[in-house]
Amino acid sequence: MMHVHSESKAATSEKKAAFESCRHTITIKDLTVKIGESVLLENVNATIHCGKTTAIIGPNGAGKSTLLSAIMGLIPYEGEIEFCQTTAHCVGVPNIGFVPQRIDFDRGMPITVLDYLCLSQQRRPLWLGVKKEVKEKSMRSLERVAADHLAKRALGKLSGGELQRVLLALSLMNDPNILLLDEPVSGVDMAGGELFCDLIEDLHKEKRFTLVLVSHDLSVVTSHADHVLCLNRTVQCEGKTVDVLTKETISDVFGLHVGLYGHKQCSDHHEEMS
Amino acid sequence: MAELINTICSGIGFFLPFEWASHDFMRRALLAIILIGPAAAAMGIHMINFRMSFFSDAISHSAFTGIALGILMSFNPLLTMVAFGLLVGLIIVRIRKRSKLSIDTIIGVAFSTSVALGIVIISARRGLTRNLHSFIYGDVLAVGEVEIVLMFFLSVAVFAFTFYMYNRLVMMAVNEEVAKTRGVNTSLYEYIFSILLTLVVCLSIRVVGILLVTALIIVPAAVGRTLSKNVGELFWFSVLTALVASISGLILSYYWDSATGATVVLVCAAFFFMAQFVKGLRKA
Repeated sequence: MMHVHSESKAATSEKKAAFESCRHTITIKDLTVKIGESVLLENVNATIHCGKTTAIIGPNGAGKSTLLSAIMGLIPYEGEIEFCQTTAHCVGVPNIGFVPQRIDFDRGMPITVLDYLCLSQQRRPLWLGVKKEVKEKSMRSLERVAADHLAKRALGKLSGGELQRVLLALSLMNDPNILLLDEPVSGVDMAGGELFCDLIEDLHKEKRFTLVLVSHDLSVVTSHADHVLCLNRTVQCEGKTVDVLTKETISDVFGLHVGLYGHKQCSDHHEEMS
Repeated sequence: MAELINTICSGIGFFLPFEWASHDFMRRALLAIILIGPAAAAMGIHMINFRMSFFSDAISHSAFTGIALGILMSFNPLLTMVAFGLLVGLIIVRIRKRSKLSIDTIIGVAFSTSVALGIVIISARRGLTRNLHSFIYGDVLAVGEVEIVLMFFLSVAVFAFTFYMYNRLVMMAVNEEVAKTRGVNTSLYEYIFSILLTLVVCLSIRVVGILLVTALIIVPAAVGRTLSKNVGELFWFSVLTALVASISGLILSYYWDSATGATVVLVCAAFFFMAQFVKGLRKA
């Protein structure tokens, strides 16, 4: 009897934990971003649901990356961005992980992959050595993205796909509640893109973070996203992927005729829309 | 303070019973160069990482204008040099944040504007040039107590900065956007870095002169970059190169009777070419 009771208690606390970990719905209200005279985003209203995958699509210069920067609080904006559903859940700022599109850096810099991960985890300068626990944590994060064999490699010598995975490992270091991916598979070869998609799928299933994905690639969007946000300076349309991604809305947003096609790369992991 | 420096200098004489170390000016020069050389190299690491090698050139040339202004207004030239250098440095960082021009374009404009201003002042007041001589070529053998004290505090500040902020600065150098998402206040660090770099440039001018300041900052860091495989080694190779080159350059200049600053830079350059050679061997 006691046993059963404790089990049900465990089940409730598990449920509660799942609920707790999934408390970061992003609510965007009347968001406007201006840089000088130019308006990059105007009156954006949108909801990014917790634990789901939301794709942001739109033509070049639509303000997709700007929206991510605003969510991360890196640029000034007008309007509101809230990270919770009810006030009871509003505890602190969520951990936001970010994987940028393509980083431009000095590839001659003498820095290893492991160095790069450890830099953000310890205050003690790396020239006085790396703390054991920081090194272990970094290695675990690299293992998680199938990049542990790259630890001693120079950061500048990585391929596009490898670098993308290292950046993912970095963004996972602080256990993010929200993960933002900016064009995750552009500039990455087929195999690398597939591996990346698989990793994200697995991680998302395991951690249930709120996933936001900016992509040009409509096939990636159809196979991964639960929710789609079409952006062109303001929200053109928003809704479940199946409802939104019709020929009409796509040609409205992109201003041209685009056919939809099934995505081969990651279609194995296609999740049923709830 | 003066007593403390004298005590340290006689200590140097006691522990280094060599002919060159028997002169008071050599002991002071040694003290000055040990304080400023490694600090300059520590800043150089980040200056190369940020791809702003040109920055120190702009500051050192604006220092020339600052000195001219000081002499013109009969103010202490050291003071006007630092003030004018800081002004130019902050203007560069400010414009860089606001405009889309690349950093070398902005630096180029700031650089030529300040040099032009300096030349206008000097040409209008003939007779100023003589005073400028020691600033252009540097004169570590004439470094005074006040400067040694300033160098000491600056060196402490630079190493405290590199201790607390090294990791963050490297993260910023790899990618600023990623660093920001990891909670690095990039703007703040950029300003602190520029201010410290300006001070290092101004005090280094007394050692190596306006013409060679950039070399003192960059060349040891370039050696570090060539030899190291990770960011920990980068620091040690750069700072140790600077330390060894500073001391051996000073001693060589004594026996060759050559300009000290230039000799130090020449030794740094020799290390640089040796490093290239070593790297070539490693690859082969």
